[in-house]
Amino acid sequence: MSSAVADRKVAWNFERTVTDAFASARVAWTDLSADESLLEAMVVLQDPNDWDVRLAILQAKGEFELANDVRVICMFQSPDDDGIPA
Amino acid sequence: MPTAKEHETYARQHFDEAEKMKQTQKLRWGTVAYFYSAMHMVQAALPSVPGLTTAQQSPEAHKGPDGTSTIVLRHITHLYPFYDSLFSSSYKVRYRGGAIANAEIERHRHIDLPPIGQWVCAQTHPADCDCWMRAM
Repeated sequence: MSSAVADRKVAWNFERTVTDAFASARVAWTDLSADESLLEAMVVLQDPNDWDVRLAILQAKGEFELANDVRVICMFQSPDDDGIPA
Repeated sequence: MPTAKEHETYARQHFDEAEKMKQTQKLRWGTVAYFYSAMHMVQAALPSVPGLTTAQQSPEAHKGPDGTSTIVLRHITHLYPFYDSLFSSSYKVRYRGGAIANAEIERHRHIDLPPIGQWVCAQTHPADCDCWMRAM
């Protein structure tokens, strides 16, 4: 499997892990490191104050990491986050 | 490598710094200080966790098989969402310049940190301890 395909596969699998289980969440972007050991993901939450969902996603993320032998850094933002530091 | 007592001292220093940063509106970096407080709390307790290698009892990285995050994921699983919530926001501040809302920082302080502090105290202090981690 080429690196590019591997990139898409692990990112796609993680997106499915999040969006299939949590209707109020979507993955805005992902970025896999060159050595394919680290996946960064920005998750948009409809309600950024829904801490139960956030912790549940992180729990699911941990299971994903163990199953796929990859580290995932899962960051969160709200739908109206403009990326400008508060 | 720092001793458990030194890790506790560093954890308290980072916690106090985070509280001060909140007062001075340096809110984003308060999130980073809260994460490092959590990291040192966990590292203070790792020698009490069964099944860890010598390297895993004194981690020198976040990632990798002997990294603190990986050890929490594999060996202190019930704390992982709280620990990783702090790690993720700290990473976002440091490397992605992302916004951290005030309410989010308060959540880190009042939802993520307490279970970590209480577990570390239970692992390393007497049962009747009323230290700052237990009282968090």
